[in-house]
This record gives sequence, C-alpha cells and structure tokens, in this order.
Amino acid sequence: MTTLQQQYNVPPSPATEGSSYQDQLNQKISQARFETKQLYNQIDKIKGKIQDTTLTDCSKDIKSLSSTNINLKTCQVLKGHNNKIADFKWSADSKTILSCSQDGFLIIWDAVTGFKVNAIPLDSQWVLSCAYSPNSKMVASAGLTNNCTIYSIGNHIDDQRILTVFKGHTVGISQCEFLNNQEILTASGDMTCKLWDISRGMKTVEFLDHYGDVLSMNVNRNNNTSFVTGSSDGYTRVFDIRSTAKTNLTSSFFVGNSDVTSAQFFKDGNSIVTGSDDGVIRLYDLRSDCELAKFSLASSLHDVQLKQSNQTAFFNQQNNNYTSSPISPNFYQKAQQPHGMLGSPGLYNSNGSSTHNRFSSPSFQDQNSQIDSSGVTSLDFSASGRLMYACYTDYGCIIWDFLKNEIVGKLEGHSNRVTKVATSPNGFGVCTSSWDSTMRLWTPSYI
Amino acid sequence: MSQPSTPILAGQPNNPKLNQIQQKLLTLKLKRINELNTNLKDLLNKDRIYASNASYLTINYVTNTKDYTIPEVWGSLNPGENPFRGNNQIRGRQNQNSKNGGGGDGDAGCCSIM
Repeated sequence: MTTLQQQYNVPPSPATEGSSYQDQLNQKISQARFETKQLYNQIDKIKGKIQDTTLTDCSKDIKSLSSTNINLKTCQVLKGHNNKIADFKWSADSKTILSCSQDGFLIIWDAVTGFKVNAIPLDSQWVLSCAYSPNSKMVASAGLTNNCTIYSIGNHIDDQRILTVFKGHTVGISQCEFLNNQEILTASGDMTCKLWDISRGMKTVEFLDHYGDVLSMNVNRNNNTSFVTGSSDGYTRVFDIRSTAKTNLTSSFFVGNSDVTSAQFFKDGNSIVTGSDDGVIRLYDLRSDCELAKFSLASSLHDVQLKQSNQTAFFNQQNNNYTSSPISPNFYQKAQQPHGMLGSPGLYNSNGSSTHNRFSSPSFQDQNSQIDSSGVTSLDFSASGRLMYACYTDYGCIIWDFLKNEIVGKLEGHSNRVTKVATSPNGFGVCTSSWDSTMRLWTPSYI
Repeated sequence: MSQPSTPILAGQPNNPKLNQIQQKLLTLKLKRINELNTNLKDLLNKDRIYASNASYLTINYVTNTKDYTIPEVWGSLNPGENPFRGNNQIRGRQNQNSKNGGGGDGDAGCCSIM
C-alpha cells in the first residue's frame, strides 16, 4: 500500500493519468453497453422472426379428440401409506413403483398385482422426493433434512441398507433423480442443483445458474445427460452435464413472475413444458428456442364458470360421475371454447367478439382469481404425447389434448389433492398419487 | 464522457487511493458487461429452426407414436397385450378381500369380464 501511495504522491500527474484512464474506461463501458443494447435488439428481432406460429395453429387440420373416448380406467388402488404421498417414481422396467410418504416410509409396489414388494423405513418423515435407479437395485430419498440418502435394496425384504448419505445442500432438497446407476441429481431450495457420484460418495458438479429455489427437475430420458429445472425465480433452465463450457446451461426461458412449480421434458426430448403457480402450462421448444403453446385452465374453464354459478359445486357434482370412468361425458366439450391460447389471433376472429368480450374487460383476471390461484403441481404425457396430464392444486388431474389445446377429461377418483402424475416407461400405465394417502393406477382396458 | 463523481470523491478529487478503487470498480464493470455481451453473442449465434417447423416435427412425433389411451386413433389392445391387465385372478381376490374388509372403493368398475 505504501508503495502505491508513494507512487501517487507526486502531483499532479497521477491524478490526471488516473482520470484519463478512467475516462477511457467509461468510454469503453458506454461502448459495451451500446453493444449490449444492439445485441438484445438483434436477439428480439430473430426470436420474433423464428416464432412464426404456435403448435395449436399448426394442429388446426387435426381432428379433435372425443372426450368420451379416452381409454383409461383405474386398475389398481395402491393403499398402504398412512399419510400424504409426497412423490413416487416408476422403475425403468415399468414393473414396480416406488413411493414416499410423510408417514416415513418408502414403499415399493408391484404395479401389476398392486402388492407391496418392499418397505424402507426412513430416518426422517419429512421426505419430499424419492428416486429409483435404472437397475432397480438402489432407491434414494431426499427432503427437508437437506440430505439425500441412497439405499441399496435386494430381492428380499430384509436386504436393505444405507449406501451413502449425501450432505451438502444448505436448504431442503425438492427433487432427486438418478441419471444412471452411478450418478444422482438433486435440486434444492438453496438455488443449486448438484450431481453426486455414488461409488465415490461425493459431489461432482454443481449447477448454480438459478436465482431462486429450484422447485422441480426432470431428466431427459432420451439421452440421460440433460435435465430441466423450474425455479421460484420464474425461469426454467436446461442443463447438460456433458457441457465443457464454463456453465452447463444450454437453454433458459423466462416463464413469468410466478414460481415454476413443475418442468417436464416432452416425450421426444426436444421440447419442455412448464407449469407455474399461476395455473398456466407453457411449451418451449429447444430447437427453435421459443414458446410454442400455452395451456390456460382459467380461460378454458371460463365458459363453464359463466354457466355454473359455483365452480366448486360443479367439480363436486362431477366427482360422482368419475369414480368409475375418468372421462367427462359431455361437459368438457363446452369447456373447449375458448382454446387456452389467449394470444391466438384466430380465436377472436373465428369465434366472434360477442361471446368473448370478457377478454377486453379489465376485470377478467379478477373474475378468475380463484382459478388463477390454482398452481400446477405435476405434468406428464401419454405414450405418444397426445395427452398431457396436468395436476392442479385445486382441480385434480386434468387431461389436455396437447396438440389441439383442449381439455378432454379428468382422472377422477382421489378424495384429496393430487400431488403427482407419471406415465410408466412402457406407456401402458398412468399413476397418480394424492394427499388421501393412496395411489391410483390407470390403464387402457380391452374393449 | 464526463467523469462520474461520487459523494466520497467530491471533497477529494485527487485522492489517489480512491481513484484507484474507482478504476478497479470500472474495470470490473467493463468485464461484467463484456461477459454479458459474449453470452448474448453465443445466444445470437445459436442455431434455431422456425416455430412452424418445430411444431410440425412435434405433430409428426405425436401422430406416429402408438398410444392406446386414444382408441379412436390407435384402436384398442388385444387381450393379453396390456401388462397391467394381465392378472385378473389376483385382482379378483384382492377385490374380494377389500369388500370383506369394507375398505374397497373405486375398484368396482375396474374389472372387465371377458
């Protein structure tokens, strides 16, 4: 420090040199800022050019699905937990299901018979997520203890032991998922995701790009190397663990000001869907780097709300019809108008302004505040991706026609909030879990 | 470009220590902006396909993948093809048990008699 002072003690040159250097810096900064502005403009221009249509507009020629014709019936009700089911995962061979509940147990179910195969008592009941390794020999649990515990399981019920406990997150872990039989990913409220090596028992990569709690994570099962996350900062980001760049971030989309509570890869691994706390599901394509569709429950149900004075009464009334058949007989046809795309220009022209004048009303959002507050908790697709299952906090599991942007049914049967929906890897079964401590397995029936 | 003056520097325009701190801050600022610009350039140079193209690829995937939940497009499964419906005997027994136990609900409509 003294040397520096000595150096600058000789007036007046240091000050003038310093200020001229500062001038230069300031000039460079203003140039760089100008460049940033130009770059933003160019990106906006390109994105505007790329985003020439929506998936719904492109699907105009495709026939709508009949809402009475969705072939999904309950084939199993998995009972055994005695508290809210937090999470479940299918095994890679679709033969078993792993579930975790706040009763402090992981249970492995035989998906065909509905019998329990194994039960693993947890150290802490505050579990938020569980994971099933591809070879079905390991399971993992993670939650509010900030730890991710890996258990090794054998064929016999007594054959279970803790392999390793990964400690490193400073806040609860919201989601964990195996990448392969050696590595597991965790997403946490401490704004990071971490990749852990099981055999070495240590963290290998840390993903730091989020500015808020990471609330959801999903691995791309087409390549098992990339994963998508949703965060309370309103962003959804796609990471690739193979990336050699400074950051593993490959794509990033600003979803909105509400929490991104679920993020899921589409079946082909080329697009992602996000569900947020405002009840809107958005589709982003990774090839074109833009939003392709928007599924809004509020606007789709608005017609119904006008006809039914009480929304809750309507859903209760529907409950009776749905216990044996998950598909709405006639009601959802009404709900199909308007389509979820509020921004779609065709909507206003084709349907006429008289029926849709509510869109121009400034109080539209207020009228729907009840529906708007219903966040999306979980998302998944049928085998082809034509049907999108979406769990809403207040409305259960609703089935969307992914291409036509229409509601085609509902998986009805749970008596409390549905926490998660997931299709089996072989595509034949759909499982839903609920706060009513049961899980339901739905599958196509033979005619 | 006028030199920005902070309240600290206002009274001591030629304070060398402060000048140096300010220089460091400006250098850091410039570095940050340049990093942002590099990222933006990468983003700009990213290969993108048109949304219409991506939509058609997605539609193509959806319409060419078998899905038995939509019988009007793909028809229905032949008996024995669905692994989750291959165990009527066990399920029958289970239903009976649940009826005896009085805890059965929602299972009534799940069995199809062939």
